[in-house]
Amino acid sequence: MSTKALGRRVVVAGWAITPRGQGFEVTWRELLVQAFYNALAEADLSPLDIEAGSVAYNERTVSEAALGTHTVDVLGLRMNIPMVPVSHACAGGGLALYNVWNFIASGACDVAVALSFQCSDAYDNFECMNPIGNYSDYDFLLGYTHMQYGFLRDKFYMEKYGYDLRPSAQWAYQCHEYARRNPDAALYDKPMPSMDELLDPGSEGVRARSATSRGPTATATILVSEDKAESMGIDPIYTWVSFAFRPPYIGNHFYYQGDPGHEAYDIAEQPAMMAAARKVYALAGITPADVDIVQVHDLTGFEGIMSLEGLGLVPIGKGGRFVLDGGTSPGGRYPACTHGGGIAFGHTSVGSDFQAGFIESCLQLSGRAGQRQIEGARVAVVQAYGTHHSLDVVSVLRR
Amino acid sequence: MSDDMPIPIPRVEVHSTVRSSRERAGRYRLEGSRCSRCGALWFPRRFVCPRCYSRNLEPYQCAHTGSIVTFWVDNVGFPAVGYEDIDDRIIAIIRLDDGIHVISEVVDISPGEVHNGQRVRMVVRRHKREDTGNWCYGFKFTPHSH
Ligand SMILES: [Zn+2]
Repeated sequence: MSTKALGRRVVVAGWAITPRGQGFEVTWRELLVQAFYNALAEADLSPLDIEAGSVAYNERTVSEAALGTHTVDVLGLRMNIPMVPVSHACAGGGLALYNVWNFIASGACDVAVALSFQCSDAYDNFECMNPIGNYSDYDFLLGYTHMQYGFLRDKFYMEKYGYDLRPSAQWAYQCHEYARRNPDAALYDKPMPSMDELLDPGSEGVRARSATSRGPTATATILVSEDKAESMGIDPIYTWVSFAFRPPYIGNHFYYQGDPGHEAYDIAEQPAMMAAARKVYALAGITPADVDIVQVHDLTGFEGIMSLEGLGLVPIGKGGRFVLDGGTSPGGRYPACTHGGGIAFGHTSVGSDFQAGFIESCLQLSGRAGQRQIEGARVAVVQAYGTHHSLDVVSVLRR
Repeated sequence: MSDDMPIPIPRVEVHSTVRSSRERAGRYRLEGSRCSRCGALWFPRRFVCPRCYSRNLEPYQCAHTGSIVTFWVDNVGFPAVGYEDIDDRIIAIIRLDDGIHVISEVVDISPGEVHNGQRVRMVVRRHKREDTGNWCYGFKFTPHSH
């Protein structure tokens, strides 16, 4: 594994996520402007300071074919800066950050912005997400999407490790509790569900243990070089980003022979996440023992639990037990999804699934997480995936 | 919509006829690839072998029988367009008898009767509409008693 140290460390200078509850009238251009200019204000920078960027979007929802030029135009940036569009389902925001991180770590520039947005121009939100299957020629034609894969995977995980619904319900309950302490969460002011509702084995229960929609959302994260951070007088939060793949066809999530690193795994494990985590921990010079808090991409409770395992924080198969024992609660070993997670902060695909966790980590590490603050948090891990874990992005932040 | 086409066809939810046609061998008879150099078997079909990097792959008809590894009864209210009229679809991972894993639907059986390890065999059944409005067909699986 190559973890060649890059020349420069990268610091988070500013971040913003658009408020929840954006209505039907909002356009993706308006969302991007909100996120970008709020992040600029946070960083106390001018638009003229931005030297490069990367913007993540969902090509199913926005029909512009040359999104970089539209983004530079709508943000009023100089026309000579590179703005690299990426489209990689829910992990897109993570890939935009990966690009920007590399721009700065490599010395190509000192100030760059990672943008992501989810705004359905042509279809309602759910319609847009449906075609995000893993392998269109086969599973999409059968009508299968990442949602069906997720439910199938959860059942397999329960069978494999002997769990009932309690760990998933406990995860969801805890997400709701965190969200009631986060005014930015989609379900902040909604009634708490009961544990009985979350344990319902029927379809209502399945939905209750699954992600909720946050609606149209955009995020912006501004990264700078260490030198630039010093000149700006920033108390630095350093960051590192990595990502890896596994074969997209779901049949190949079982004992895939094409890569020696994947032969032992089935759909209850996420080798892409494991590889990305190993690499980014090495880049950051940390081990799982150093991690204080974690934000994972949880479209279901069990998915959040499996992600703790994929990140190497908990042994494979033990994540359910860890959650039942309070390991991810505010006083636990790894407080998880402290913004409310996909289940109660809300899922927005490209709009924030990765960067919402990243921004939450920044708030926690800088002691600005309000009633959900985890005292003394210094090292955070963030993870998100695209389609069904055919791509996992993992980031480390360290104060 | 018309009498001929009573089901609305949203643009994002359909597949192009051209693309469906190109993959017809895979969809109709589970045709994947066999690496001529190292013998590895692949589904869906490939154009280079990721084990030995040979580009010499030949069409390979995967086993048409196998066993259910795990399954999910899809009835939670997120139906994909083209399948809203079908309750309780059984979605399964099937390990074919040559070791290849596929995801598919299991038909001709009620959700209460299906179980892990169940023997199944491939059948061709209706999938969803293509963008021309034609119905697309492809493999599904049915219980196999022997
Ligand atoms: Zn080969």
